[in-house]
Amino acid sequence: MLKFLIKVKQLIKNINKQGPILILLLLIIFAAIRYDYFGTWKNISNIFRQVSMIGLCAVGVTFVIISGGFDLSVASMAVLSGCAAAVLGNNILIAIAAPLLIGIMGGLLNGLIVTKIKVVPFITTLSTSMVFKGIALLLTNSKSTPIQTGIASRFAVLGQGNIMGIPIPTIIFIIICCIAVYISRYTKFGRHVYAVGANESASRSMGVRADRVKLIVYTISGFTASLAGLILASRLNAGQPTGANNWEMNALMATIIGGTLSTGGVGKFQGTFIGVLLLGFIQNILNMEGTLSSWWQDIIMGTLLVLVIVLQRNEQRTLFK
Amino acid sequence: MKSSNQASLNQLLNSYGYLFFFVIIAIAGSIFTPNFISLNTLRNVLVQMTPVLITGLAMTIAISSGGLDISIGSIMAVSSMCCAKTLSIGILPAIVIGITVGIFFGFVNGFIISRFKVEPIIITLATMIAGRGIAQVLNEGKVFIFYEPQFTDWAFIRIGNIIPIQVLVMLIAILIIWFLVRRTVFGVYVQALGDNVKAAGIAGINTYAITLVVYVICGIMAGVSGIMETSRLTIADASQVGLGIEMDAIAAVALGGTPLTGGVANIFGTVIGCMTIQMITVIINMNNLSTAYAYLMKGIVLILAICIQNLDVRGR
Amino acid sequence: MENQMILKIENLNKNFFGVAALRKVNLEIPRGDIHALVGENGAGKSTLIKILTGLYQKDSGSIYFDGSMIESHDVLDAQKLGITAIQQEMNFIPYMSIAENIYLGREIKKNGRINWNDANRQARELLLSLGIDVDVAEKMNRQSAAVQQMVSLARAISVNAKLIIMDEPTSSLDKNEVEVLFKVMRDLKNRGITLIFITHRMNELYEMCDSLTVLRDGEVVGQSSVADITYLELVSQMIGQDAANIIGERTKPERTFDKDAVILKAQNISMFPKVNDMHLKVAKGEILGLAGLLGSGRSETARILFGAMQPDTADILIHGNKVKLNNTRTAKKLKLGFCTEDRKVDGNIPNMSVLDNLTLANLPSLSKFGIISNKKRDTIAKEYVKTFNIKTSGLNQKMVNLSGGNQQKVLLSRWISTNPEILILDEPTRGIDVGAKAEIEKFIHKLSGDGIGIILISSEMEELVRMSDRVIVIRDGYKLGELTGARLTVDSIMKEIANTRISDISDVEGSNEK
Repeated sequence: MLKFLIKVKQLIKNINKQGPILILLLLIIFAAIRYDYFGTWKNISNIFRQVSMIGLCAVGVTFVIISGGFDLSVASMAVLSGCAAAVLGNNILIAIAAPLLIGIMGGLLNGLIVTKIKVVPFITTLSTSMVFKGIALLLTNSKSTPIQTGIASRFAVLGQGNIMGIPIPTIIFIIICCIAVYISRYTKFGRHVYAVGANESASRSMGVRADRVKLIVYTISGFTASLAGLILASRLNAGQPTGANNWEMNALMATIIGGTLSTGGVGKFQGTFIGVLLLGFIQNILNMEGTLSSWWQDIIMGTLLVLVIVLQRNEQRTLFK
Repeated sequence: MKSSNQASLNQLLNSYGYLFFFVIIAIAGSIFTPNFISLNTLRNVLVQMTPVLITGLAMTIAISSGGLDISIGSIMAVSSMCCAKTLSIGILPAIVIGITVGIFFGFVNGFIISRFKVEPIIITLATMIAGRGIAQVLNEGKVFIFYEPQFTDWAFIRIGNIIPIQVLVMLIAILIIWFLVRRTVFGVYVQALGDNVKAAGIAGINTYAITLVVYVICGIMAGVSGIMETSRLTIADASQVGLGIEMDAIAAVALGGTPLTGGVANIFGTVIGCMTIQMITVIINMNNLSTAYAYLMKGIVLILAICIQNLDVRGR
Repeated sequence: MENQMILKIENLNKNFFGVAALRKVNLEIPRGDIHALVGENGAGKSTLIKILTGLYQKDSGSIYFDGSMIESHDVLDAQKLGITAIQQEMNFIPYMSIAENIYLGREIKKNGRINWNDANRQARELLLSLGIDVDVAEKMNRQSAAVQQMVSLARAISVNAKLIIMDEPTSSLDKNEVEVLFKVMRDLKNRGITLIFITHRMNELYEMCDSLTVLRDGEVVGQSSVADITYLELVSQMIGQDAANIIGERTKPERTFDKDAVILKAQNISMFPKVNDMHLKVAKGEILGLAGLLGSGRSETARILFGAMQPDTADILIHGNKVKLNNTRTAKKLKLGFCTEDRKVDGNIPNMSVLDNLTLANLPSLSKFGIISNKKRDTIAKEYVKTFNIKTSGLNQKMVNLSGGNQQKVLLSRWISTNPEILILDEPTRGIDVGAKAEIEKFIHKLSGDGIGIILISSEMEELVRMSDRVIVIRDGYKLGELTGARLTVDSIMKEIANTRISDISDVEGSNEK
């Protein structure tokens, strides 16, 4: 009898951990039954195409949060990268390489301010998000700027194309996710990110180069954000300085809903993947319901975030007795 | 000894840095902008600054207690919409409802933060997102236009035909918050909490209750600010009211010298900080520069302000 | 000639902001020894360790390790040299597995990626060789303190440590776990590893260690082999009393107070592992001293009595009524006051003014409807500044700018101004200049004369003897006995600590009725 009870308790605990996946599955079943259009390939592939952008940002943000930090500048970086592609992109190479380079440099900037000048990540990335946005507005004269005509069609492939029916952004997203999972599980650097987030001082005394780790995670976040921005620009065929609305919040939400602890040290990229999908599916379902879509999504997301955080805290409490 | 001179300089910078920024920006403004020093400019700065100041004051209390509230913009929006929609019942009831909405959100924030010990940034992030959504849903995503001249004309009252009424409101708000922080038991407790939470606990301060009240105050002030904006704009636009205001508020607090980790609140500093931030916006506008420069300047100024704060880290 | 000493330190100095933490430290540690490092709080042990492990840099002096001189080195260098430390506070990554904690920073790779199978296997073998059988894939924070210690030791071995510094490894262990730890330590010694063992439990020291160094106020006051020094001599060195010259005179006259006017009576106070079945009582006007070495659980007892820590069990009676001290507010309402051990941690509100700090605990009574009466507040503050001779450039001076002694005076005033019936003072004269110390002691006397019951914790035995009417001797969370009247001397306190074996405590319990 005791053994049976123990097993039930374990099952319940596991369900709690698998929460997001279950909710996702439930939603999918619900939607498939309710909406005819839901199950079509066109719809599904659209959802995936859409979430891939925020998903990429979320991967970067997850790295930063696991290391114990915060990155609020991803939205502005995505915008900046898209605008850079439009304005600076004379040829296809520059149109892709320059924004990515900018993303890396922007991330480095965040990392340097956090590690060298020792400003808290929240304020650092808040400030840089304003600076990035400002630069983007300057580059484009505050106007939506189309991708230069010579390369526009080739550039559009990035965001609008398919390979064997699967949207390219999704392929990129999945590849980046897989790389992230690999890094987090099998590389020294990846493990050090977790160590720094869990107990920075202990990790330092164990020989982990905490400052270098932090520098790298912010750079990664800048890179993924700029990649996401490129895809956005490719879909819009333009660099939009007012785009990427709320991306940093959505990326953060996906990360936390996916099981990453806001204080760092714990997190799974698979979880972020599920979180991103969850966000996307909820949006899709709400789209199908009516015109209230995006706002109800926000309400639900916000409430979901609160629930997840509170549950996380409770579990954390039992973790430490 | 060299290091003690350095330390005193750092302390000085820390204490009065905000004035430094204010003066620099003011001088820059008057050099580069025609008509900068004029009554009109001053009036514009003051009127537009009202929401930032009121939310900045609230933010000062939140930050001083060791926390943060980034949901104030969204609370403004919900209050604004609720107030606007209930104007038909009567102006006073509508205002009361608007403020009650603010209290409700503040209570939710404060309760979860103190009871579940969740990080303020995350919870207020959630409230911010959900709140904005609620504000939009209340009028199906559309702007709410109303006609209530008694309510809206109020925003254009000028005392003695010169001073906008908003200035009076701001002065009252500043006085109230200043009084709260400097002359009440609550104010001392909040700052003690932010400066050394362990010591505050030993001294018998009820950290749960204080935290709760802090966020309720934030909610109330967000509500007031939202209602005032509604009056001034004559419409309730859930997508615009308070959008991004938390950034400006935080920048003002940081500029004003209140430590971001919590501790002694610098009300005067926040006020000057608000004016500095607003001056940046006005300079940009008056010089017909793109808003891009506003973003750039605010971001850079914020980083600089924190660097200066970090110079003097004694006692932390 | 083969180098007998694995570690030789000459004339080491370390200052922090002008204050000397280590002064002309000279010590030698024989290779292969289990070497004890003893000293009270602030004696400099932790600074010394941090310098050895590369977290701090020495200001001057030389360090010779394993025959060669060490210049400035960082944490990684220290590890490479073979110096590791096992800390008391959580110095591991909680959410990571045991195996991972062992190999963090030196991850085991195959084909460019981390090989978890190998890592787990090696970790398990390593622990088994120490006699520990655990699932190495489990997370660290789910392990008992004992296992966590073992894992840290295993990590030290796997980095080929030659010198392992163990900082109070037994403080959270029960008797069985301590036995296991000692077995592992002997095993390490057999492997030729030198251990520095820091403990406050003297019986452990005598059981395990070969040689020892005594630190006091940043200086080495004694080095010897364990066999050559008696316990009494050791304790004298630690606290700076010359055992032979103790006069044991009480400089304060016998005071009269009603022993039966008991205000506070506490029984069954337990909080494993720090406090074990503590019991005490304080009468009106009585000064009760708690004597013991560092780590004996006195501060924890104090915090429990003030509601700042929740014990496993506690029966507390105030004026004969059973009370539940759930938080500090309840304690205050019951007219208790508490000056904590480390004012920097939970005493000072550093950036607020002297005025605010002084009146912090008493604000409600100085205000009406929540609005502070500046006049009342100023009056009270000025009174205390005058009475205590608090040196400050003004009531608005920031607390952090005051000297330690004056800060302590402010904190004392804070609690005294609440008019408590019981005042708990944990190290009220620590880190204070002699003049301020005398003033504070005088004031404590006056307070007890006014009828306030005082619980006094001090690591200065002499001070306790001078001030207290009665002293409880505590060791490892156990009450060893009570001393009063003519028997209350420093000598007898030290004998009580030294002579009573833990196994005898149950007998002692029975023989000490309250």
